[in-house]
Amino acid sequence: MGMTNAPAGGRFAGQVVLVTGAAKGQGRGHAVRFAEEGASLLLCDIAEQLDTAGRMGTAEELEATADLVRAAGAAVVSRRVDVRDDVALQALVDDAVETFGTVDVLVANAGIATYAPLETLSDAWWDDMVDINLTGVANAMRAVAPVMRERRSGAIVATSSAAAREGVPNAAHYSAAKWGVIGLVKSAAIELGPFGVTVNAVCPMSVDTDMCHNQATYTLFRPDLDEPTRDAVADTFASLNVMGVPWLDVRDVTEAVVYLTSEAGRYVTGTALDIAGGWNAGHLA
Amino acid sequence: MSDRGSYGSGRRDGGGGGVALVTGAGRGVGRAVAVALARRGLDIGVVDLGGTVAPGYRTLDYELSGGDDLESTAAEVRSAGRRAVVLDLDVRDRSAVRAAVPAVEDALGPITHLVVASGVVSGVPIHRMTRSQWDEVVDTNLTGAFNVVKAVVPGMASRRCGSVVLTCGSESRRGVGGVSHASAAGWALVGMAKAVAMEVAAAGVTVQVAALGPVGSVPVRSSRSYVEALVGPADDPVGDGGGPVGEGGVDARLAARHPQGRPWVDVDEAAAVIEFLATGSRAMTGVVVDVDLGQAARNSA
Repeated sequence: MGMTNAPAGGRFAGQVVLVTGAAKGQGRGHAVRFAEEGASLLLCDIAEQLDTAGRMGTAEELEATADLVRAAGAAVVSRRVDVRDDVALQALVDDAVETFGTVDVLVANAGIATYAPLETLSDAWWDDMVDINLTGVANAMRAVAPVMRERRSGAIVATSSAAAREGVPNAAHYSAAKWGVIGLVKSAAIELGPFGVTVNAVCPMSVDTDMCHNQATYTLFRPDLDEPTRDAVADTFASLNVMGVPWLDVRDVTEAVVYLTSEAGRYVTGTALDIAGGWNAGHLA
Repeated sequence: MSDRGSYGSGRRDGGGGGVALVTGAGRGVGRAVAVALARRGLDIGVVDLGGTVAPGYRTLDYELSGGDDLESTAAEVRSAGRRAVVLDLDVRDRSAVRAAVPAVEDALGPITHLVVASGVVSGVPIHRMTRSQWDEVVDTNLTGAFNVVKAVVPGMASRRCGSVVLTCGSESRRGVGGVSHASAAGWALVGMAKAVAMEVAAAGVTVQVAALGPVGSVPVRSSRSYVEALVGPADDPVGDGGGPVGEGGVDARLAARHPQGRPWVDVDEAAAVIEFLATGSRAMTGVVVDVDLGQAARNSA
């Protein structure tokens, strides 16, 4: 199929896409878009609140994502899965292969964000951050790599962060995990490239979701304010990048995820794509 | 050595040499660094798996430090005229790591230098990697380093005095097939180092990273799976059967990966760079120095 002619039924017609962290936010946005582009969807989310994270998705929200996906005309399998549970992730992939025949695309998106200076960064915060944001991504990749490799076809995108492109104070755990995702992506890209499987990372700045809009994040950027509001922080967020945008729309990330996993991005692999209003322009790499 | 001035004010007896905590000090680079810093006038807390701790690893294909290794390092430190405290522990054990700090500081004085040279290696492609293989490398190389940094660095910052050097492999600076777990852990360690460097910069504490190409000592040289990941597909047997990886084919194939045409970084070469970063890098922080036989020359950053 040519790159300039969208196939009937959407760019991902006939493809099976697994999205982790699909209950809300970026995960939901990506899932709905793939559904609109003709894919069948596998959705998962822990759908449970952890003490070590901001507001996480609920079972109801995961089901709402599934409803949106169905409304777009897509077949969907939706399941509560904690990405730290590699056995459960593997079972989800095994079920996908049984139901749909394969998994074509993995969007390893599940993640949390918290902030603390080193001296108060607790073991629990470190552990959950690394276990979810790094090991969770590896678990998902390990679950799909065998089937993608065997079929000599597939595309993996992991959600990293602009925080993975510099040293970010008060986020040693988050930085570590998100930097680690890039190393994982590049090494996996080298291994899986000969088998027609691409592996990439997206590195967004703040996105217009719960992960950005909460007191912990606001306070990080405006420690001078007691209970900063969205309007109060917007200018500060905007000042961090040269385009003056406070936060991305989810679709700004979705477009990148779709590009990297579509025919258009067929030879893009091992890359970390900065979607950050130019925050990255001050970096060497 | 005039560069002791900004770091060396921690000793109880006012000697001014300073106190270094060195992990992975039982063998190889860690031992060499411990001895080098001792020769510079520092007292040393030497940390490694020392034989009283049962090494809780199931997925590694080489022998870990143990037995007399740590005591041998301590003996070399004492031969250099410095004091040594031996701490036999697993860096994944947080209570042991936390107890080590007062144990060192009560005996030797506040820690002024930290070198994390602990780490494990293995090689396995991601499509065959088990959870245990992932965990053992990430828990040791990343979280183990975090445990030590968290136990030591806040004290350095409050004293406005300290120098930290973390170490990782050259898969921390690029993608490398067959070692995605070590790559993830190493990249993550660099991210952590830079984040912490930012936090403690104004307090005069420096945090550097030495990214080492394959070092010609255990563990790297003895891990068949890691070496095979570098020199060929993981399914190809190379070197002798059993025991440490043999000479010949492996060395030639490793050398071919490096612009300098050598297979291994010598332990002393790595230690010299770490020694510099630990004692002479005051106007730098958040820096990664590649001691990797020329791989850096191919890198974009």
